[in-house]
Amino acid sequence: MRAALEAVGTVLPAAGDDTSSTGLAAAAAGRALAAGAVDPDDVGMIVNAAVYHDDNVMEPANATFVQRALGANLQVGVVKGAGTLAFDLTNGGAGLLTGLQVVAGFVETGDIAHGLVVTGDVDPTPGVSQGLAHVPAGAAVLVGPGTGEEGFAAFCERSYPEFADLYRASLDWDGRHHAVHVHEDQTWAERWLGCAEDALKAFLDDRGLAPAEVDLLVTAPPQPDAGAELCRRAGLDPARLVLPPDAGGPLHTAGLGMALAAAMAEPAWERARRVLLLAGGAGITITIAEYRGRATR
Amino acid sequence: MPALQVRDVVGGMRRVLVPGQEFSLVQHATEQATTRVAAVGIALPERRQTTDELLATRRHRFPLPFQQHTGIAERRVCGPGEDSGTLAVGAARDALAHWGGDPAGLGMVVSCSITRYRGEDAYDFEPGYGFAVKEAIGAHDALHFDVNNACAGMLTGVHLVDNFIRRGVVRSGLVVSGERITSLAANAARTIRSYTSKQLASLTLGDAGAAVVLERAPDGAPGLFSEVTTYAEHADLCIGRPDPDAPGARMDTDGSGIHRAAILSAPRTILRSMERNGFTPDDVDHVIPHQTSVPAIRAGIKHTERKVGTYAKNVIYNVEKFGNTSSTTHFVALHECLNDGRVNEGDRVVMLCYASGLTVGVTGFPIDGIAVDHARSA
Repeated sequence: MRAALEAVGTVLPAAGDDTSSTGLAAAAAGRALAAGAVDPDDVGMIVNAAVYHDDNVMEPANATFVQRALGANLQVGVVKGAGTLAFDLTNGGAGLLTGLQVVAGFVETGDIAHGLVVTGDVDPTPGVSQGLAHVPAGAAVLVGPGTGEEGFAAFCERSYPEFADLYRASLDWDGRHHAVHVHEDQTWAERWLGCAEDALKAFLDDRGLAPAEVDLLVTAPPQPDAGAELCRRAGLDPARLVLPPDAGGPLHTAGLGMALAAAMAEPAWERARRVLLLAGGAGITITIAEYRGRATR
Repeated sequence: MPALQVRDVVGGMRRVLVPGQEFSLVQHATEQATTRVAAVGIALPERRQTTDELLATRRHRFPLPFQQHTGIAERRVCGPGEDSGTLAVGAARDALAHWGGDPAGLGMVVSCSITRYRGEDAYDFEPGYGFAVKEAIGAHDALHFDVNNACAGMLTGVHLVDNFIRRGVVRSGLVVSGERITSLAANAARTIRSYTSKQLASLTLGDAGAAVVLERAPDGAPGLFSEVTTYAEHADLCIGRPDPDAPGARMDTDGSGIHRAAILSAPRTILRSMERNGFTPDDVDHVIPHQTSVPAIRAGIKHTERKVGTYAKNVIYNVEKFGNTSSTTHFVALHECLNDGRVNEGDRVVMLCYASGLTVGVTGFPIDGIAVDHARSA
């Protein structure tokens, strides 16, 4: 049995909305659960892939606050089965897809019935952060047992450590306060594109796939026009590319969730037999998943 | 080691995984494998700080018989050139040195550090420590990521890697953590004004690194079992965040509240996990609890014994020497016990974690050829 995508929830806050990391992730998760008609107590795993949390809370896992907001198996003695495991999993901009790889595995083995990967990156040190460009956004992806062949068929991750210094972020003490510092080299976006191209070509080759066999490519590159260029370089039809909607600025880990929500809303989603999800982040690390689509049910 | 044959039952594709040439594609194994603990490594700072020395740094002096109340006599503290990263890499290299496998063949590297301090002042977000450790040890092709689940981090990492091994996705994986966490103790010592301070628990902390190599067990061999559960109604009982007034972090803990919640939830989780995995409490030779303080461990074990209906044969403590080393406590303790002969081949070990969240976890496994350096005791 494969693990399949059940629903995606997203949140782009308007003025006056809750822009806390937990609030964004929980709101997106609530939408995903409602769309998937899944009870929070049936979610066996909640993985939070956000890198930048409210107040930079280090413990407990920020996923715990999302679990509490959802009301999933909160109390000792009244949990369903083994209850819910909530933890944070980070892998930079690739974190959401890495989280999906983990959750999909537990669904495949039957250890959990449903799993959620959530995210909600915010500015943890507003007013003093430097270089933090992403806009606050929430996304949540609900995964459960697939039907027929539908579901995740393969994941692959590649790293390019020679470019590790092109994107670095840390929380630094400057003698008066803590502040987030993000260093993004001017060549970062171009290097990201080159690494994504290399990883995508290698993935297609490894899976024995021709570019024409890819019905949809879902990704969230650092710069929107990089998506079409990636398709061109890898020989994919740019018409099959799905990017996140314009959010008024770069999206961090939520970007792939936003793109996935857009893809699942397209008529092409129902017809797709093979979908590739591609995410990348600092390292440079590129993660790719092959998803057998609804048409394979 | 024999090659592992894995089949994608849906796609009908067959592929042979050769040790040293692993990859991170998901494949669907026809039969679930089991996981064994193959090697354990640690890295400890050289510097020892006694509880008296820590208390002497307090700004506000009041009677505080901390050593009598916790049993903690000393802990290790990072010195110049030591931080979360060096401890994590050091522990990983220690484990790999005894494993015997090629680090390049590791299928995945999972870092579980709560504290990702580079030096004293910088906390790293991106790239993550999983990436940094795998590159430092030469596991370039390993899947990597960071897990943060407070003091349950390493056992959560073990839980995840076990799933990848059982599915046949990887043959081996490294779970590692380096904790430079005594900045919390130093900050607490500067600010606590009374015995009821919420930062009091921070004085228990110690620095350490630990790593464990997991690999596919031989067919038919008993494997590891694991269960980790979060009871999020208790999420606020212990919060760690950057200290607003100093480098490093601070942790505010409702000590009695989290202890009460932990001992109420642990027996149920332990029993359920053992039952699901065909274990009975009588099967367990050694219990390694999360190392918080001697009285807290004793009270927790006593309560669990009453609920479970049997006595633990051997409960392992090392908190007196190392304090609470957060996510690394279990494997620091196991490493020491394997070295000094308290835990031996064929013994069955259960690790219990109680962490902020509230997260309760159980990991059980037999001692089956675990490689450590018997010449170098912790």
